[in-house]
Amino acid sequence: MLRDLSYMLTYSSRLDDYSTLCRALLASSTIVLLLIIRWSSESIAIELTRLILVLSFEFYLASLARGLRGVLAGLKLISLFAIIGALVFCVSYLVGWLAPGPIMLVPGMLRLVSLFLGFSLLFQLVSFQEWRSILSKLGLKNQSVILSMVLSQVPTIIHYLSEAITTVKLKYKGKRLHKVATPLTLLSFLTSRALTESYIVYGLPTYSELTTYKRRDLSLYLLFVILVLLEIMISNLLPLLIEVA
Amino acid sequence: MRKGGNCVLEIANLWFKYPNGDWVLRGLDLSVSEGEHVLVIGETGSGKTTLTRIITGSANLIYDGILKGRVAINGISLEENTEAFTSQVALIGQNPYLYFTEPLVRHDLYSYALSVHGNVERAVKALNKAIEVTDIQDLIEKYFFELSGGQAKRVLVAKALISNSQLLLFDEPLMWLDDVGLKDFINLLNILKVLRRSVVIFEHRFMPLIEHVDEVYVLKNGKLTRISNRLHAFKEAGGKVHHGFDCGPNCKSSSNGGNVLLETVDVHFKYRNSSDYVLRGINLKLCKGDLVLLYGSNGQGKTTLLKVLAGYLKPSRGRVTRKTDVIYIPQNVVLFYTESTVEKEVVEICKARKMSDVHVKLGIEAVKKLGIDPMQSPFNLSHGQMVKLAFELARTSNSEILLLDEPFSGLTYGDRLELLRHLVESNCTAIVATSNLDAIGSPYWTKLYKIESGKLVVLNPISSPSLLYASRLYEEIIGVE
Repeated sequence: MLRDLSYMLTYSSRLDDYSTLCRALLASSTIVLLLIIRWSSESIAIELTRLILVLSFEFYLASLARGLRGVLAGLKLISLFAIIGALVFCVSYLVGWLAPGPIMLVPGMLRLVSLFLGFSLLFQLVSFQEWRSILSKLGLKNQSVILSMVLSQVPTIIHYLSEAITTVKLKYKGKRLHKVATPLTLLSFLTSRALTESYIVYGLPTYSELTTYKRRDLSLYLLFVILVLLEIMISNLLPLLIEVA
Repeated sequence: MRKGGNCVLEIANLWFKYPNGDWVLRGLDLSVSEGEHVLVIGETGSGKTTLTRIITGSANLIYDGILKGRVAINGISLEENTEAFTSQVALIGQNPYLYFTEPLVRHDLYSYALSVHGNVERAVKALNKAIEVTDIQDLIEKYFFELSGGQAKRVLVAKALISNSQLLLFDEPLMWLDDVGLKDFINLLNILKVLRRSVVIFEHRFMPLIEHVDEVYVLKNGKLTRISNRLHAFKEAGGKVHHGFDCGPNCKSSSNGGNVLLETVDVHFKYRNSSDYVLRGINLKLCKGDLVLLYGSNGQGKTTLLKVLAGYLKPSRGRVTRKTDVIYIPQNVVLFYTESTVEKEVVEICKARKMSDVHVKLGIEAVKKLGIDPMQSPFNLSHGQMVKLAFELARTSNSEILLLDEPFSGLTYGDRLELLRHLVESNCTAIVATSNLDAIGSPYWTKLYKIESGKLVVLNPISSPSLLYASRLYEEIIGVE
């Protein structure tokens, strides 16, 4: 499950046919769209419909990079969090604690999955090298190097996390799983020191050329425009339809 | 240094210490000529890693150490021009996965080629040449975390060739390599020999390499001693080292007659997204006092089998019966430790099993017997001590079965033997997974298995004294001043 997650944070060369601008724009616009939906939906029904539309668009983009099976595998872990959240929600409702009610469950879970998928698209659609170039063009050269240093080690850290969980679970008979934080913190220090040594030998990573337009971009832009139009239609027409009904 | 060659690396009267520390290197001398391959062996903590840090320039830049003496590559001194100095050397470290800045191998190599050569045309040319020489065409479209340790090291050698580095340093290159990876590495050395690149290898597991290098040195008391002649004389006197085994029929059951602590019947396992089984029909019976060796190349299912036996992974088919507690010690043993002191480790592991204070006291006494101060941090221990302490903690917790994943990685032959003896003396029941043949010849195993494509077969070892032999050889040469 953790391994699948690490694939969700890596760029796939299947997307080389689309320009950097198109990929970066669509990945970031999707997150903006999700935030707009969160704060501008008048009812749960509207929010739900709009979320499903964006989620479908996210699935389409992610499957261009990973294939649909890869996306579903990567979403397993986050779905687990969503289910745990839902269970906590149900228990809170049953025992009478402050809980917004079971009807809020579905949009809550959808929000979590769509936001996770949205953020993962930032790294699935745009490579670290391209992010470095974009950030350095924005005047954030040092930050871009730090970001790529951190992100390049995410898969390794995920592997360590999986090993640490197995070990600590057996060591403490399934209890005190939070203790995995200690060896992982130490490993992070050791890794960062070794990484610095490797940068001295191999130098800092380079920047890639950013492309602004490729022919296949048009299809994605068109799809995004349709999505936005549908979103506008739903947010304006659906309240009227509900009122009439 | 060999006669007649141009001197690539020159180290003369080198002294080095870390801030607030004692001198680690004390008047060390080393010369490596063009195309020469040198092997440096030494105990843990003898200064091998420090020497690599000095040659790569990081000892000064990161660790702020105090350095005296001369270090130069191709006549460029470290003190005079650090940048030009470091550009002459490439390091392939213990953990090769730390040297990637891009997830996709092709992107990583291209990005590096571009930074070295400046323009796209030259970068692509250098990249293609490096890929061809190191034969990594089948790896370049993979993510670096999908590569095995051996494959990742091969990619790093390609990276070194892109930069035209004259000197390549390998820090424990055989760590995490199975016997297939070892062959790959030796092939790489031969390629580098043809390309006349100078190589310095720092390695504990020296036996497979001594035939493939020009000179062998021992690092001891901060100085290097050339031992090539002595090593060959010892080898000639001691006879040949051989690793031999044959495989018996598919293992059905094996028992030494004691209490059965763990049993698997027809265990199959596959990961949820995969259609292929990682484990196929595993039948294993572990009795009290059994010391089992599980040998197999990387990716054959050793770690998966250990996790299934531990109960962390559920078998897709078949049955696992455990009659006692299990403790798993991972390859990266640092992950086993969670407390600030060794004493707290003992207390917490007992607390988790609701054991009395008497057990805690006994546990602390056992730790002291290992020569470990209970008040020190477990993270300050050497790798060998960490593994031994993990054994002891498992014994204290009354967990009767120990599952060890590659515990020998990064240990000297002497330490490996000592670990094995410790396991035997502790009267543990353990399964030790390893990807190296050299542990097979040990007389301590009660059962030997090979795992291949997920199937378990019994190994019948023919006389294979490699570990004992190497350990004796090591004691002999390390004792030489």
